[in-house]
Amino acid sequence: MAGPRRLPLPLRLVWELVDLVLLAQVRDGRVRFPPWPTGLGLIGVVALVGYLLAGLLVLLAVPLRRVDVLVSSPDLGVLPSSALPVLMLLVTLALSLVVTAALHAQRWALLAALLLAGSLVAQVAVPASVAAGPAALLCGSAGLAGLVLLALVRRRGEFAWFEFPLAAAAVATGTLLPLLLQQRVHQQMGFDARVLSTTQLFMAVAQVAVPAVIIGGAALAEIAVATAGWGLRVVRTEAPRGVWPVLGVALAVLGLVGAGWQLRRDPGSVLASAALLALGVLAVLLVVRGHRRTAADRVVPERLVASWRSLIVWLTLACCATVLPTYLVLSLQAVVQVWRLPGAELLVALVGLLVTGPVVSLVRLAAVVASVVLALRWSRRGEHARPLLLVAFCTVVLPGVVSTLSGSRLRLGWSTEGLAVAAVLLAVLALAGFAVTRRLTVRRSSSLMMVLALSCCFLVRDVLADPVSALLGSSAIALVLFGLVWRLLTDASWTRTWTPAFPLPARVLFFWANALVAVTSLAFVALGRGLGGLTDITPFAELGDFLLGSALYLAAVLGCFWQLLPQPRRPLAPGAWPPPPAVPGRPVRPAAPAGPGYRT
Amino acid sequence: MGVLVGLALLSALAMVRPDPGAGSAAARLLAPDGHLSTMTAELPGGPALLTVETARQPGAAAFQGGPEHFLDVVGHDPEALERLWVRETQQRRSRDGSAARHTLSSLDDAGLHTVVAGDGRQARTFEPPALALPADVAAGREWSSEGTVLDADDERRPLGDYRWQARADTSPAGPGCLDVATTLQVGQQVTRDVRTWCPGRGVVAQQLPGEAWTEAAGPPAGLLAPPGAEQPAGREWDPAGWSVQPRPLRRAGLALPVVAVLPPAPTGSGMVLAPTSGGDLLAARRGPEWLLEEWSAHPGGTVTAFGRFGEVTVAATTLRRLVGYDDTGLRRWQLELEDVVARTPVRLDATGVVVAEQSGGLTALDVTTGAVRWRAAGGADVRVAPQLCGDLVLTLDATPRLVARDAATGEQRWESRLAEHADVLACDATTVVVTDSEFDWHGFAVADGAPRWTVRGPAAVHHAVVAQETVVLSSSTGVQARSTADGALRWQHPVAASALVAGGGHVALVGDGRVDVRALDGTVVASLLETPTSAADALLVSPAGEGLWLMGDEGVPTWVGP
Repeated sequence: MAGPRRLPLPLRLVWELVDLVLLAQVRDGRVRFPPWPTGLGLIGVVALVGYLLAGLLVLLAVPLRRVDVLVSSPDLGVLPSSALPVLMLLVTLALSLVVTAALHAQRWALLAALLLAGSLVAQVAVPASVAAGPAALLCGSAGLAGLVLLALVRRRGEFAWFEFPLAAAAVATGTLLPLLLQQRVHQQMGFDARVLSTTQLFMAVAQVAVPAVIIGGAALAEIAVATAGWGLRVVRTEAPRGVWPVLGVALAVLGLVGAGWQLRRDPGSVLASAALLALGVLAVLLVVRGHRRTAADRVVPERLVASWRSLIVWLTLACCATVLPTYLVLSLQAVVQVWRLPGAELLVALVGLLVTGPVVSLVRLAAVVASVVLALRWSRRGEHARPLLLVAFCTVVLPGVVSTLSGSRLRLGWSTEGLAVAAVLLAVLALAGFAVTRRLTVRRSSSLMMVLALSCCFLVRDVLADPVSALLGSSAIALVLFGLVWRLLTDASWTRTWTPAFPLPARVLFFWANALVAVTSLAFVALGRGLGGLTDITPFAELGDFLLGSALYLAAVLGCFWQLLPQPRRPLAPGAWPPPPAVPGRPVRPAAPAGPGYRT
Repeated sequence: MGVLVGLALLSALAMVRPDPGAGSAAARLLAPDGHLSTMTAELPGGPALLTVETARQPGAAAFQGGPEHFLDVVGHDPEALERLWVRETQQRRSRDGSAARHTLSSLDDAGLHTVVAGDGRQARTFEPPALALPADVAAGREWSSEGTVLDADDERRPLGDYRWQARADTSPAGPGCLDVATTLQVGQQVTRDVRTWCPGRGVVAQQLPGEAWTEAAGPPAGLLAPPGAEQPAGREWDPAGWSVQPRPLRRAGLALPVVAVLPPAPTGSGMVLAPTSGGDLLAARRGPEWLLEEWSAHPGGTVTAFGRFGEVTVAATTLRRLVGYDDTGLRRWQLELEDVVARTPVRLDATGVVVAEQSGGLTALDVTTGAVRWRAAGGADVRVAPQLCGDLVLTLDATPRLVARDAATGEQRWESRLAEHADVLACDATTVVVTDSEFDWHGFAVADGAPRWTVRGPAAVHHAVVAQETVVLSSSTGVQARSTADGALRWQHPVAASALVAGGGHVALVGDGRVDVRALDGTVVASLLETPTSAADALLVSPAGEGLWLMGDEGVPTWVGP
């Protein structure tokens, strides 16, 4: 940091902020290639090549569509012909990684991977058999048998590099060979089914990509919250004292301008969002405040972001718990329809049921209940970051659940913008109230400034994805790509640990498989301009932003309002303040007796 | 890395279509799929026009469109479905009249072989096929073929032995071009011609006995009258007198099921179809029992959207091209676009049409000439076909935004950012109705985009039509009719419709095997049963003057009307 120290102050502040919000996250969470078992590094390189290839397809989708020969299938859109083999290659590669990863993971993971692979093979081989005859089925069966055999033989052993080529060979036998046979027959019939086959495959793959895309969708909110938290901290510690009040006024003015614009545009959503915010405050008081408050209860945004990483995967899986059953039933449905077996209507109805609002809402309701239970338990232990996050998650999810289950009779039409505006208005009112009643302490003013900073950053979070959006011609695709790349760069820290149940090779391979499936699904959407279709995964990124991103932001805001409550009467012992959260990848700053901006 | 290479090879094999003979000199001379060559000649009767449209189709695709005598090949060539076929359609126009000639050739490693050639009077099959261009064709190369000519229309009756002799020489027409002089002797009859082939352009000029055809940019002035594009005046429906009349497409004396995903475009006498396989357009007229083919055309690639405007059929294809045909199947114009058009073109005025590219760009053009009136760049992908609402063109994109442009100039008048993605757009001159993914139904003023009303719908809307200040919306829970002024409910029907059609002062609720025609106040005027069905809820419906055309899974076009 010697270089930045010599920079002029504004540039130094920006450098510090970029370093803390972006670079440090990448330093801490990026993929590393430490001494791994033989071959794992090479497999990682193959996966990386696949990821880059898929990313390139996303970025070049628009020009590719303009110059390449386009092929179409009835009612399924148009794809550049040169992209078809690449997409097929990436899907088989991802599936091979999943199977190889699961070989040495827990039993349920292996079972899930085999079900996934089996379903995909069934969805390809069975429809292909209509045109290509029993040979396609034979290939599919051989591929499946190979996978099962591989699982049985290698289950108890250590990871070995040759498992990956064997899994790839089995997957290719089960998927690519039936497609090859089908393609030959279709060509004779004068029917070009390439887009149809690819679309069918991606209808299944898109389901698997959903969790990664949802998590990626929350990236912008995560960066916004971290930016606000670290930004205020950097200004407080690095800038001259006079900057602090000016920044406070600027944030209040900016927030109020945004609030005015939003109020004119959609006053109803601001009111509804204010109700949501009130619900959040009430929930915090009930769940967190009900337990003994310690002095070390500061919940700063950076700490929330750090805790968020451990929760987001489970919350996402809870939100889309119907995806895997839906995927399996869809596969079964494809087989039943092709072979004209009885029960097709039942399966159609079952899929319809699984994807309908009430069932999804019931699953989310169960997630809410579980979250409340966990929040209470962790809160009893004196922890506040995770309970606060869970409370915020429940607050955000619950209105949608109630609306769906009540048939839209109880509907709270809140929005993310409205929520930020409501927080701004509440913060400004609180600032004014404390000032008038002469109770505005540094701690309170800092907390309320943090609410303003959080809200301003949250309102403009889309700006980060705008350059990508301009390049791709679609904001939805840009949002997904941004989120996926951010997760790839910052979410790999769990691949460096090891447990007997989830060994390192399995972690590394799952990480790559997950990333590859998601970005390949996005490439398919970008190339086919398939927004709004059955394979469109972009709404899930928006869902991630709406449910998870809003929850993180709300948790941060609630954490700030938490600071407004009266302090515990017990005098603080020296060193009672917790150290500020460790900056990933950077040495921990020495803990000040009173954290910046939180001194009473 | 070996795994990557292996998977890449297999993926390529599964997804890449080999092009037989693609690398040969003969293949290089051929025109690409959908290409049109235009030639003119000064004939004794005055100037004349000759167009050659090329279709390159694999396997059975070549036989779905085109003349019936091509089917003769399928029954006698066991490898017919393995071959890559090259279909040439020559359209000839002069003051003396018009004529069409169709040639079917196959391209393989040995070269281009002519298999069948015919006009309206006679079709001849060459047995074995005559070598039109050897794979290694070059200047100075000579070749010949011999065999028998059979009558393709008369159970392969022998017409005589043939001898085909040809020689290629360098042509001054351009680099790589060859003049191919051919002498064809069938029995005692000898014909000679010289055709000029140029790389990637096919035949660009030809010398026939007494006729010298040279390459031209367009038809001779004054030869062709511009096709009419006016919309026939709307007629009142009289549903009480309607009946259900299946009209299968007749081909080689048999009923041919039509597999299509794009709704037919009605014409004054029948319809234009875009069968799924082959990429052809097929025009057919309605007979007492059948649909009878009138002409077929191949705009190139696969047809992604098409519509009929007066006498002009406008088709968009995967070649990122818009093509206009007149009512004789003659290609009048083509327009290159930046992206594919996947939504039906929309009429702007008497001769104007607007199309939306998938990436959002709009192009307004004159359908009689193909001349562009205006273009407008799009910010995001379009979600639905554009709509003409009064004097504005409205589009709905993936941002999601509702954008209004002046229909005459393309200038943007206003835009409205929507809270949720929307997939259905319907309007009249005063109100535009949009339904979104949160089941909210919104009414906006067409003039300035001001919100008029919002109501909460019961489910996602699949279809909506607006007529006489009433919007009719169909969702999975049923059909609702609401006032466009304030969104007030006018009537509802508890059963969902697969499609809605408004016309002649009525609205038709098209369901699986049933069509209910209602007055706009909701009164049921007629219920017609045994209409086409579709298991996948994919009925194709087209309003046509006094009735409707429907197509279901059986592939039988069905007229529901008087």
